[in-house]
Amino acid sequence: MEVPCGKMYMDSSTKTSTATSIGLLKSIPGLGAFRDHGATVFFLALIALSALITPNFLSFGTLENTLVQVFPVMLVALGMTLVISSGGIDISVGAIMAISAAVLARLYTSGVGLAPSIGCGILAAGLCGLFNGILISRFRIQPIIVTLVVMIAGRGLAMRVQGQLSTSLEYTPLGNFGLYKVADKVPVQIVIMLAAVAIILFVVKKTVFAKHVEAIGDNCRAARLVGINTLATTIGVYTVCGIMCAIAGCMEAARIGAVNVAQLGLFIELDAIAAVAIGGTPFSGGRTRILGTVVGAVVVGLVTVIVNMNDIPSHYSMVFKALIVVVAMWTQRKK
Amino acid sequence: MEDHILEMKGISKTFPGVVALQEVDLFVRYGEVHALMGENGAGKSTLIKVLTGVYQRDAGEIFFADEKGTGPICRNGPEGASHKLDLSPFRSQRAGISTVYQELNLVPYLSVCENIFIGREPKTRGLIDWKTVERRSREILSDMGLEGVDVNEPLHKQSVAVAQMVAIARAISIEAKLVVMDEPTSSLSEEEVRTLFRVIKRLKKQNISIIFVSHKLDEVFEICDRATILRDGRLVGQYAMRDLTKLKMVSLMIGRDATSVLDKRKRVSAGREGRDLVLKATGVSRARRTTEISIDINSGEILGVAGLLGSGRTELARIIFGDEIPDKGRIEIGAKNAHMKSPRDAIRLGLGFCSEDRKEEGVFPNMSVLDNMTMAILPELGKAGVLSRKAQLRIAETYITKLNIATSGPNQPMRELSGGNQQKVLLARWLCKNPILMIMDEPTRGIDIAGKAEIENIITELAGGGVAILMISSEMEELIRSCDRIAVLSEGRKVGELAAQEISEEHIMHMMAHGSALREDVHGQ
Amino acid sequence: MKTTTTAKNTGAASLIQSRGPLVAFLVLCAVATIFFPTFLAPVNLANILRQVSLIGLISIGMTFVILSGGIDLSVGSTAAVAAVLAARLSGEFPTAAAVIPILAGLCIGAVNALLITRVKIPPFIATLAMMLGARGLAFVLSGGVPVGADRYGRFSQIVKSDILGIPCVGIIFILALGVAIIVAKHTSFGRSVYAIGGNEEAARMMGLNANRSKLLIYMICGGCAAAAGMLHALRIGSVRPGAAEGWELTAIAAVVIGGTSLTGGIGKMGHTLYGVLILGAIPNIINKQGTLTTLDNDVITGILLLAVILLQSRMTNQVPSAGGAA
Repeated sequence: MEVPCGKMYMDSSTKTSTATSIGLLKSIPGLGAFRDHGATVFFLALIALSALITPNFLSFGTLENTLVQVFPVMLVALGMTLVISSGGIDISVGAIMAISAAVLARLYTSGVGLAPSIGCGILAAGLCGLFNGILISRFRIQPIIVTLVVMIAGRGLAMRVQGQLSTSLEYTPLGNFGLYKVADKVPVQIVIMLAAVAIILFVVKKTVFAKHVEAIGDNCRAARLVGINTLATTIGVYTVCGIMCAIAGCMEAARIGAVNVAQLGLFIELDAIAAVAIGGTPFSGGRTRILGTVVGAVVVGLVTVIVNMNDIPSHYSMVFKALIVVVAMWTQRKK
Repeated sequence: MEDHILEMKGISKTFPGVVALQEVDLFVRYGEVHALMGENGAGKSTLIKVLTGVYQRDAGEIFFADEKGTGPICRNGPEGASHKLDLSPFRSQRAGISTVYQELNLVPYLSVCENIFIGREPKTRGLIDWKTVERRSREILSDMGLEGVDVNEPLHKQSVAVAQMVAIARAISIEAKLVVMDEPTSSLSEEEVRTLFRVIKRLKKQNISIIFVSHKLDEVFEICDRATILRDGRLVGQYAMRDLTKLKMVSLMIGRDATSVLDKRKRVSAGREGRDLVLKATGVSRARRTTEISIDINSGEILGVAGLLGSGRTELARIIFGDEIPDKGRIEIGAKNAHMKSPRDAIRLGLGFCSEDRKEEGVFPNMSVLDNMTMAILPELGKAGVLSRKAQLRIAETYITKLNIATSGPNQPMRELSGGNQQKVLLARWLCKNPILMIMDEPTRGIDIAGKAEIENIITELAGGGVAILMISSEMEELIRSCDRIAVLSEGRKVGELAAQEISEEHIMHMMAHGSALREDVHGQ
Repeated sequence: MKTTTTAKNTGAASLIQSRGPLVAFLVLCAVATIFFPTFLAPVNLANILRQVSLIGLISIGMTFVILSGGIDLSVGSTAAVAAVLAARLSGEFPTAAAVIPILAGLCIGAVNALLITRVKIPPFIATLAMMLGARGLAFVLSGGVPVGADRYGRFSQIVKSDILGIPCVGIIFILALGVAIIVAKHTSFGRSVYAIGGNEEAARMMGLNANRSKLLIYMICGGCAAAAGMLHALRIGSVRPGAAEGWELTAIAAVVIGGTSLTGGIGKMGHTLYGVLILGAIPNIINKQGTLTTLDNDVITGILLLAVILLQSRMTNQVPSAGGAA
């Protein structure tokens, strides 16, 4: 049975305050353009700044390094964008990464072949997404709460699956794959990342499913009245997000050469949400700016890389990311 | 000013794209119950919100008497407002104006006495003096004639009637001199309405004035002294109740002198023989909103549904479309029993639905015209879940031309279109699916004359092509012009059905005014 | 407004709501004692209290925030900032070491509130950003390395000691909780928290200044987190800038298990105590059990949380929605 719409996203302040809010920024000309392309502006500004202050910044090495770093955040952020455009949120992404990597490690080190192991890892993550989706749409529990539960319990579950805290994958075919470079030049992560971006772009621009997701985020009530199966679509969105986490988790495990369930993907939800915020997908739902998220993810990754390359203590990167997110949200508030 | 406690003069308020109020006056005397009447969109709730300070007016003056009976608390001359003097909910409360909103702005999880005293609790040494709060609450409630209410129980455990009383009790405890009641009886039983009226009479005796916003004519005639009638954001007039009849009131609210230049009765009604039965609803009831309603429509027929606000028109539409499940009754579509659990089921059976509130229930504001138009038909357009943009564009182009939609292109965001054009896009959404039954709730609301004519033509053409149409409208001319038959609803029941020659404004208004055939009417003629 | 409660629902639902967390805790204690008789020994109970007191302090502030319909993810980072400040100052400026961290917490809370009410960022995102920012600040203030606190000073000794067998931090927590309960139930401010959480629109229309209340609410939360951080520094003696990571989640879990709804407006400050105690008892039991680990602790917490939330959602489905329609 279909369930009517509730408040998908925890946001108590906007309803009453929009009637009376008069932003200072309204009067600044050109801000509209900034709002639409803010992510790109940040990106270019960051590049320019870094090129000036960092030695050896504009090189292939930096590019390669950055993209490999960005890879897991990018994948997760892509899934996160879909979830957010449906009006929800998913903070369990790190835990799902750990779960799928744990399944992979457990099966793989027990002798199961590479492909089936990865397959099961993805399946496990898909199940997590299914769990999220069902609790959110069928039981009408707020997305933040459901995914909070999975976030809390997920890593412990992963450890039970794996049987131990950490499994080594070094010197195994999988571990080697994680360090593999296509044509000896391009890290496999970059290839997978590009493929993922392409696939998600395709889905967002060309499938009925994506339109339904946006419709639910834009006007949930109208979506129901137009015949959209809000139950199935919501489940689908969280499942897709879970699958993206699985790919990110398995590949990261391969690259690092180990699965440490307490560390894998730790805090990645922060980076992913930051990427989406910078990229301009509204948290109230209804629009999906995939390319914005792509740029946002790169910006997030760049902050880390720049901080590293300039020998700035790494925790400054957190402060920078936080500031960028606040500014991004501020400029996008002007409606 | 001597005998007026409130004077609102020349109030105007505009929202982006919509003029809500234009130079409206409202004068309320001491100790009187003053009705504020008008149909949907007339501006009643905007006027109230301007009075209480939720909205800031664009023009006009408000004078409200204080204890001495003199002096305005707020003045806004033509030169423009001075910030300090603008009202806010807090200031208007402090001045003695209290509102009981239809949505009952109370906090459900707090107790009765807390809701009465929120924000103004009596304190001793910084902590709330609960004994006093409880005692005063009980006193106020018993003054109102309500005994035996446990003031410590959470509000949501009380009945709606008690909750309403609590809202009024709050007003009294603020020592309000003016209480605004917005649709106070919409969810009350007869017994509870009696209690409310007793309370209102007691308030009158204490020289407290009441603005009574309601669409229930019987009640207005029973309890009110005078009435101010609004229509389309303008003042129609102010009348003493004894100078009015129900019929006259209805006609003032609806406006028989509409600016329409279209013919009175254009539709040549097709005969009913030889047409398939598309929809048959029997004895449909749900909660207190709809009771035992039965209607039927054949293909190519336009059945109009007339009735005032609260008559159950929209609820009926929702039930037929599967959005709400009736408690009792049966619905057959195409002569087969239909058990619809959601709009999806209804759509699959060939139904379409244009809601009266297109903003909340129809429009996807941030998506494009193209997306909005094709949203219902998407799965059928492409293959294996992939969109066919070509097919989408073809549909968009067809209907943009056919319905004469003013848009810069299929990719324009829906929110940029005017109301009329949005409505056309929403219509196209269903037209492209070739439905067998179209349900339209206020299809021309908020649309200008030219647009109205266009949409009416589209509807007539549709019917000509064999589609059955259920049209709900508060505009009399629209119904009379376009419908084959008109069902009249009043307070949840179907009070009659008019066909062909019987259809006239007098008949319709007579039915609406005099309510259910089962109720005794002692006021009207 | 339509009420849909039936007699059956009222009884069961309100019983669970009013006594549930206490009952759950007692059941847990009973079961634990059956398997591990040493559970109820005063020493063990004191231990549990000692472990949970700091999280408990944070949960007090968090309860205010969640009751008002918001959330604060930055408390862990705020505690870290306070801890680093306290550690830094404790040697030479003992008084400052007590005051400055709290001030810092109040400021962080104020910034959170401003982001939420003025810049209109949803509480989740605003406090998420602050979580990142404050964590970075903690690293900056500590220079990235652990900071030693004066473990021999007077304050430090007091904090680590027991009074009549009850840990000092436990006493601080209970006292703070007592004050919070009084504030929540018997002050205008406290009731405004419930009003805003229950129906913010109505609260504003009733004349409450929601923005000002929120400022206070988030400042209290920041202050509580800072107090916890400061006590942590004094107790542990050496503070890593990465301290208090994950504390926000535990605090949220404690508040929710204590029966407070994440949608706001429903819940009792006092019940947070049971949520905190339950979350303290679980690792204690796991320890005794011996074969489980801290990650298992999280799994159990998660399952518990889920159960509570499902229960809550079934109950709130029976609370009416706003009525009124054409």
